[in-house]
Amino acid sequence: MDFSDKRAFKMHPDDNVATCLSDISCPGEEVQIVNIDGTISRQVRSKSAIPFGNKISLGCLNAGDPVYKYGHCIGGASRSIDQGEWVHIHNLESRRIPIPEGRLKTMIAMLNLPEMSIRE
Amino acid sequence: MELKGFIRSDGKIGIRNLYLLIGVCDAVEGILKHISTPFEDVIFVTSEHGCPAAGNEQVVNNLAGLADNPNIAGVVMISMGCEGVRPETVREKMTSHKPVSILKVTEIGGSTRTIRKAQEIIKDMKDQNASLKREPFDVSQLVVGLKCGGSDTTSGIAGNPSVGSAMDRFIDMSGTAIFTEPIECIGGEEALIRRAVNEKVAQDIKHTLAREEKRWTIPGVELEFMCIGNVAGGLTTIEEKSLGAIHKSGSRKIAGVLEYSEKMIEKPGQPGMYLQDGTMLHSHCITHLAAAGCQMLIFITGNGAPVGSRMMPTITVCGNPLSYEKLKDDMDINAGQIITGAKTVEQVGEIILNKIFSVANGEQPKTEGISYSGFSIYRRDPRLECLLFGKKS
Repeated sequence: MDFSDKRAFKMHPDDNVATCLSDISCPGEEVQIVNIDGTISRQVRSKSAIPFGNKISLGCLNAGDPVYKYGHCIGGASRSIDQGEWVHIHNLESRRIPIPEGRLKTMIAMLNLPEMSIRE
Repeated sequence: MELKGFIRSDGKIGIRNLYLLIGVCDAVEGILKHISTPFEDVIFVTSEHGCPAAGNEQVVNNLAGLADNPNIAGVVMISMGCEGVRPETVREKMTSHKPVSILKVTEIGGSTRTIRKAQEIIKDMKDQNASLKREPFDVSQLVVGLKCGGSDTTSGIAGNPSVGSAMDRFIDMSGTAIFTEPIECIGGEEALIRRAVNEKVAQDIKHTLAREEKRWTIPGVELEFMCIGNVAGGLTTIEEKSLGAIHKSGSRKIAGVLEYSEKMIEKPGQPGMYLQDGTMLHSHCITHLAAAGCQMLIFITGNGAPVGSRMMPTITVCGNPLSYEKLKDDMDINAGQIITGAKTVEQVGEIILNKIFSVANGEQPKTEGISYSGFSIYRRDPRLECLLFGKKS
């Protein structure tokens, strides 16, 4: 999916991820980070391809750091995450009900995620 | 916009005139199918939970709740005649005063006679209602159910927020809405509790969500909350899914938690936004929202899954512009315009609000007449409830 500019929605000022509104096809693309009122807050250079609807990291995170979307914690980084990286099940884990290990592996394989999870 | 509906004898408002056939146990399912075949406005539901009465209280509550739904103008209950769940028990649980007939196959003399007799009764009910006209009613008598499914990341940024925006305006006008899926509020507790209208409701929300989490997170049992469709759509954790899902309830105060238990399926009192202690499973959820008295359903989707209800006309809101294009024969509202930048959340909210009123007045949403009309229910196992929470007093 591609709607002209590469844009990603940041749902709340406290968020450290934004949702990509078009496919980021390769590393190095400039992504406009758009606030919900439509204003552009900044640009972030992608570190990987990121499909439409997926999250891009707005900062550098260490394993265990909280990830914020909608101004609320949506889980913890399961390994370190660079600014501009794709944030998904391979590097972000629920703090409440994690995806069962077997299902997680299947999903990572099905989605062709960049690396296997290193959940230990 | 002026609202016009069918005023029932108990003062409730139907936005459709439908007739309900109830099979108190699944043995009569074939008979119900035959009875309903010639009629476009007859829905049938059959309990698939067997005929014992004890332990089946939730079945009875759901059947009575569906019979009470204001869109239902008349009810025929069919039983073999020997079930533990008796049609009389279902009728006693009803709170409305609409025509109800009970037919027992073994008393009437078999399937064919029962089919003929039931069809005659329905024809009579329809004749009685032939002169029924839509009359003006107040928005405070409209109850809308909210459910999302086939969610992807557009659900949390387009579909659900635009419905939330419509709901804020609807609640301000004294409308009533019910959202549910307490397990999909996990991670969103704080956001919900701070919207409670008072301390009691805050405690009710906290308690309801904690109990549901306990039911679904028994150590050693692996259950899936993030299905492959959610994850493929960009959703990563239950917290993220929940926070996106609760946007559909808007930002106004939460007036109360509606009980769903072996004791009752609670209906909303004063107008406002309510959380039902129900389930996230879509067909089950449709049954419970109809049983709680919703006349209409709003279904919000990302992947375009056209899930709706035969009893509650369903407005389908799609947040993903690609799914909308692919499935626009079924999608009523294109919230994907928020993603493409063509419209704001508030603009789509306004469109949804207008659609609620036009559907209440008789306009058919795209899936009306096609949608779900079964009887899936979230039947909490009384044995597990007892083990987890102790014996009820």
